[in-house]
Amino acid sequence: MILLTAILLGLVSGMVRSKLEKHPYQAMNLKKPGLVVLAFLAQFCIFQLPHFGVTPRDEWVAMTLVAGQIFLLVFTFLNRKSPGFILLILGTLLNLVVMLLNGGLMPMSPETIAYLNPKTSPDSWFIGERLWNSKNIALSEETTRLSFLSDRFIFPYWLPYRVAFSLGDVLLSIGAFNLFWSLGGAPRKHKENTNGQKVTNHSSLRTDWQ
Amino acid sequence: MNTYKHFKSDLARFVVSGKARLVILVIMLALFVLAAGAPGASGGVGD
Repeated sequence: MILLTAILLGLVSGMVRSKLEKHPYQAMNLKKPGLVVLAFLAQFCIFQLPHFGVTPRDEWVAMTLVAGQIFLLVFTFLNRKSPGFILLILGTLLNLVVMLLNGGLMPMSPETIAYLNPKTSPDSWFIGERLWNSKNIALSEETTRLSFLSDRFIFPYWLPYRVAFSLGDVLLSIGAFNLFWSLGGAPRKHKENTNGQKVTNHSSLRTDWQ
Repeated sequence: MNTYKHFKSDLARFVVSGKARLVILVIMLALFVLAAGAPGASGGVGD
């Protein structure tokens, strides 16, 4: 949930910023949003299959995940001039690289799995196999390629929320926060293209929340 | 019929408004992080 929390925090703090700086909170157009919908739906469908009695092979899941990440990478690249998207590109790229190098799934160490699932029997998962119906594969630190990019970061033990996340996820969170924070700032000035015409940017799409 | 026309014009006005664009932006970014992030981190698909 940290990624969705980053969006929410960015949105709220961006709106507070727009109030304080007396700018209208802005919106912006995204290029090729269909790529995001496609990546999401492909993943959603493959993870829903078990509910209909169909267990997808791990290779199918890996292929779907990698294809989805590639769609998302293209989407972020096409929107690279928008605020926060450089971090979204980097985060997506890091997650894609570590997944590609580890069989198409996001690696997670046995120690992290045990920490996140203290009540689950260790016999319910096996090293080198997909972790239940998830995006993760159980791999030891030694056998994981680029293990520092895997789902290895956890919150301090005194926080009740137990999740593992990767360096890529951290960059995605900061990028998402940055995007929504920046929409509360001063509207960007119009730029002129080579024909001398004004180029529309997100300053022209004010939401008039105030 | 008039109610339908009103609804249609209200909907069209909303879709082109800044608020609708922001709603679409939030939904798209939410779908993006659900698909791009770690399952535990995003709380999304494959969790």
